[in-house]
Amino acid sequence: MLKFFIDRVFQGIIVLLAVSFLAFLMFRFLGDPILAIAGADSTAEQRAAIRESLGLDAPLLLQYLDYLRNIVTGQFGISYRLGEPVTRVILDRAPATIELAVASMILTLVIGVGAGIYTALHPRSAVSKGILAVSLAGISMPSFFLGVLMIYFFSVQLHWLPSFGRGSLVAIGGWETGFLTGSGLLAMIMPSITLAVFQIAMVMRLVRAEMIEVLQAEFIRFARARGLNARRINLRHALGNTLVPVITVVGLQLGSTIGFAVVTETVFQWPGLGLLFTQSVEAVDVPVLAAFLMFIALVFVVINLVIDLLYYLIDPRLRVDAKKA
Amino acid sequence: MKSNTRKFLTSTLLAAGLAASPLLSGDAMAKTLRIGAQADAGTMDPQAQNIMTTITLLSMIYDSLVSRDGEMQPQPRLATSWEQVEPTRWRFVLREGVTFHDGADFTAEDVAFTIERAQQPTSQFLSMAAGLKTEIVDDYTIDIITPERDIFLPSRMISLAIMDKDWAEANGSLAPQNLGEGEESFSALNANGTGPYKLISRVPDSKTVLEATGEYWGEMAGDIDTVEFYPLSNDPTRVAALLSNEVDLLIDVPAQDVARLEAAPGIKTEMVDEYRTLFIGFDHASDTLKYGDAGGKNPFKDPKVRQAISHAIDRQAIKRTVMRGLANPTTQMLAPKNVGYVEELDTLIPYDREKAKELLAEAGYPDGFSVTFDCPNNRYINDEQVCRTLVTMLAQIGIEADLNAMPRAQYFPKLWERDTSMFLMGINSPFADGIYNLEKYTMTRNDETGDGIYNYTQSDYPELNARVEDARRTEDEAERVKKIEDLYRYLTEEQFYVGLYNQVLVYAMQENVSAPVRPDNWLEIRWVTMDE
Amino acid sequence: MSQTTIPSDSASIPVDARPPWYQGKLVRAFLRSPLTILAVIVLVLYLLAGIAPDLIAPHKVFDLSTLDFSNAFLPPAWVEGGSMRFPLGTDDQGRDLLSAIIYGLQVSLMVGVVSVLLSLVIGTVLGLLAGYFGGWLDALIMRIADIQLTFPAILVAVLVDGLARAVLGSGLHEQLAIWVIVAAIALPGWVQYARTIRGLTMVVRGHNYVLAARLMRQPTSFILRRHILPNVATPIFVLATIQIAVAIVIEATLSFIGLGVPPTEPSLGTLIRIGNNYMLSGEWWLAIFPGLALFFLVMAINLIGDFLRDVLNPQL
Repeated sequence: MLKFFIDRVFQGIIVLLAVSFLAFLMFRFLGDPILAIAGADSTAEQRAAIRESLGLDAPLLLQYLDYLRNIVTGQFGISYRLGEPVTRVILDRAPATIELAVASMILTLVIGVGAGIYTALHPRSAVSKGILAVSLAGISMPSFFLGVLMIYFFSVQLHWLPSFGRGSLVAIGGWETGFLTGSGLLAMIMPSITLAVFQIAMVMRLVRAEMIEVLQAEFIRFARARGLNARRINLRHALGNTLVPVITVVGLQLGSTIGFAVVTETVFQWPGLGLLFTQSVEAVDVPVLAAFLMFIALVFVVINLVIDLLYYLIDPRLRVDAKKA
Repeated sequence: MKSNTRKFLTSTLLAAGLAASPLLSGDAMAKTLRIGAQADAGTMDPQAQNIMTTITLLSMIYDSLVSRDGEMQPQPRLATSWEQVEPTRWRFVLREGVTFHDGADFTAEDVAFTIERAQQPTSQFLSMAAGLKTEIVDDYTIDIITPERDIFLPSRMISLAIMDKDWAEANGSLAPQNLGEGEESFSALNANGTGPYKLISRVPDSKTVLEATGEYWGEMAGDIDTVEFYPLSNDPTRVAALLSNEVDLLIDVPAQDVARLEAAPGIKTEMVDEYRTLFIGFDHASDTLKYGDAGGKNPFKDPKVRQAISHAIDRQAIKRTVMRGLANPTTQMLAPKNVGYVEELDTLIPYDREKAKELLAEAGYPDGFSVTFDCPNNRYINDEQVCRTLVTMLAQIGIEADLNAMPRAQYFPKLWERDTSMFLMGINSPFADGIYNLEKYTMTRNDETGDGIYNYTQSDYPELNARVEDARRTEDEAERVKKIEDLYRYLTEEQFYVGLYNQVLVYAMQENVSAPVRPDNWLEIRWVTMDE
Repeated sequence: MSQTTIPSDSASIPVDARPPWYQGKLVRAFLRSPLTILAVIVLVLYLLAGIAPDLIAPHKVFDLSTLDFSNAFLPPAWVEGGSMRFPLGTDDQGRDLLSAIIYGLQVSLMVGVVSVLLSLVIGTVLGLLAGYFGGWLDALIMRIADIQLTFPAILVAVLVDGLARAVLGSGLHEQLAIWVIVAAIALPGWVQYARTIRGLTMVVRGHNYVLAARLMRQPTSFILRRHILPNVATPIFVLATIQIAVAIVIEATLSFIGLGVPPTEPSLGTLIRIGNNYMLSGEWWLAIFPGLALFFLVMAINLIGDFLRDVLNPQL
């Protein structure tokens, strides 16, 4: 057990190192941060002075080692664009993205699971067919296009919902939340739907498929034969067995949620990590970009680790394999 | 019935939103102006970023010695008067009784400190302060010594926001932030000026809130109590925010949306001809085209090719389609109302496709040639669409231009390296005087003197240099203007640069807001008023 | 490891390794599903347009010398001011939008299909190797897959795009932009195939006929090709169909945020990005029609993918 765990942590560290080098290398070449600092009207002399003070004229490997040494001590440098420590910039933005992701996860689970169960239990009803058609549309609709359409109808035409931002926020400790104000909740509606639509459709289809399969399984038929009531069978036995794979998939989908948050946040000017990312790309804000990728890599290494450990605990065969390996 | 339901729903939603809003707890009569802009101010440090949005926002908090009126003429602000006591010495008399927000008095020391601070390598206002020396005469009189005779010094002072020396020293902000040192800068996040507003809160990229101090030393036409500033980089989102009354004033209006905003109920627009001329530049120096194929030659060395390109461009069509009327076509590189402007040069090279083909054939390129056209995609109004249109127009006389559009973070470093064969640029003289464009954009590059520092054509014409130098040194104003006019005539005939159009600047606002637009795109908050 | 032990039921005959579509089941199911027939018709139309835009598009919109600025911003034909010459209206250059969409389709389809093929090949090879050999090779490949999964597709594309711009220089990058996008989308895509194939291979590896083949000392490459690949082909085929839709959406998304295909060779995503600027100014058709074209294309592919999955029922 311990050896398995150490192995995985070690592999995780290698992953992080590789990611850090890639991130550093690529974004080092994406553009020139000098513009952000010196401005378009600067002189060549002034630019040379800044280039030197930034250490950008040092050999690449040295720059990387320098960078690595700093991040080990928790320093990601100062954002070229914002002049604030990168760690703080990222921590400031994280709540917005986390709340958006949570809101869209809630939508996904409530609507996706609900609709999935309904369509599995009533495969022939007209409502089910309608739901399936909508889900097909949802899985085929590019989220940015949906966002654009929603702003057009609900903000510009109808004036119902705010087109940008998070509304007013309430600070709880260091965390600014939009869940506790009316305008905060209103502001969350369109971005979270935009982000969730694909996931809702996917989860719904997954739940439906799993549920149909489980309903045909031996133990359900056995339960029916024993005369247990249908509701109890559906909820206790069928749903329970359906949810395990669903939760795994939803967990794994966190990555694409963050990825697509980049687009959603850009469309709705949602001040989270995704917007930070696109704005940082545009401004060639190297420290933020590098830290951002490291942050995401860390999140995923941890998720992978947890999943591996869960499987290890659930599936006894893996334990045997691990001992042999 | 339907609209009633909608109204009911809207008002319920609004009530739900507002009831919980902490903003409402303040004075209900207070006038709050919500401004939407394309980008955020990058910093609160007044010398760190020479970008109009940042300057606009900081000028609400800080004052400078000199300001501009609606016609761009210098006006007293923290200085009450100034005169050129010697050719290289200007004397400024300062306003007495002005205090910074932290209570400290404003004195000549602060002026000397600010100029010195603007000369640090991390300052983006070096070009306004380079070579200046100061001598404090007394607490409220200061001499500024220029390296040469400089008639533009008062104009240079417009963009230097005065900081309190003691405040900067106490907070370790002697220079604009050095990002490379990994240090935090107090002045990048905090502000202490003499201006009418103080910084209340700031979430970069999201929202900045300013509040009137109520103790401003000057008279102000404006009556805004609270300013909320929202960066909204996505064009449709920004326009939607104004249409749905989530902001009161847009200072970056996408050209294509102006007509719709004008037609929208409750919204009005203000326009002014901006002092910014868009033009195409070329590599004048290389023997063979660096990016492109013209049979081993560089066609742009030949004035006929540049003239041909100019004749091929239907500027009225650009104005009508891409720019939606928000452009004044020109074939020169100076905007109206600038010193040295000659109106007839705007139409010197008319749209004439046949003439263009003839000139191209005369120059030895009857079948045209190919070239890469570098273009920014987030610097000027609709820059990428303008470039796409130019590519189409050039295709029609046989020149195959490959569009290479990129964000400014990549575009400017490329130009700095003079790594381009053909490019799109915008030009404006900070002093509304044509000599500036001539010095910086047409003289041979000289990093010592600063001449030709924005001349990305790599041109080296000694005779042109001498003529500009001569105009610059001419003391008699009428004669100086004449020389500048002659130079522009010469450059336009040669099509040294191919002028395209002067931008028209638009602000859009709710009907109860009155916000005048100035040709330099600097929103002067001291003029903004709002009806109840 | 345990695969050297022959299970006790080794006497059973090898299972049918033929994919189910040989069995006529597919055709029968297809004929019973009108929606799928419709989707196939739509997709065929799309493919025709995408393969031969020169024949189908009413205007040669990328011959710049044919454009006329006096036609700029014409609305669709049925709207007042529209013209039958330009059924879906024109853009700021006076370019026929319908033709632009047809040419855009070509780019979108090309990027979608080629990137899926590329990731399919990489994923299949790596998945087979990992699943069949196991051990350190498996660990290595799956760890690389983990690294890959760490970056959502959009982030990978940003990275690839940025690196390509730096390495190629902006001029060359412009020419190769489409291939850069293909690589950017294919790179994260292979993981899905590799994981699926690895899992299936591990199962099939234990089947008796594979064990028999190994005992008969048939070469590994032969076993992989002949016995294992056919058994994992069906789920991969279905997965690939669905992935084409995903790839097309990713390309559109990248192009929408300005990272993808340059405006000189606009894909549907690029058209939507450009059109989006005109959403509020009255020229709604510039974003809506490319958006709808994209939506129906993706929907048709998804419908067909669903059908294949339902009929072939692979374990995905």
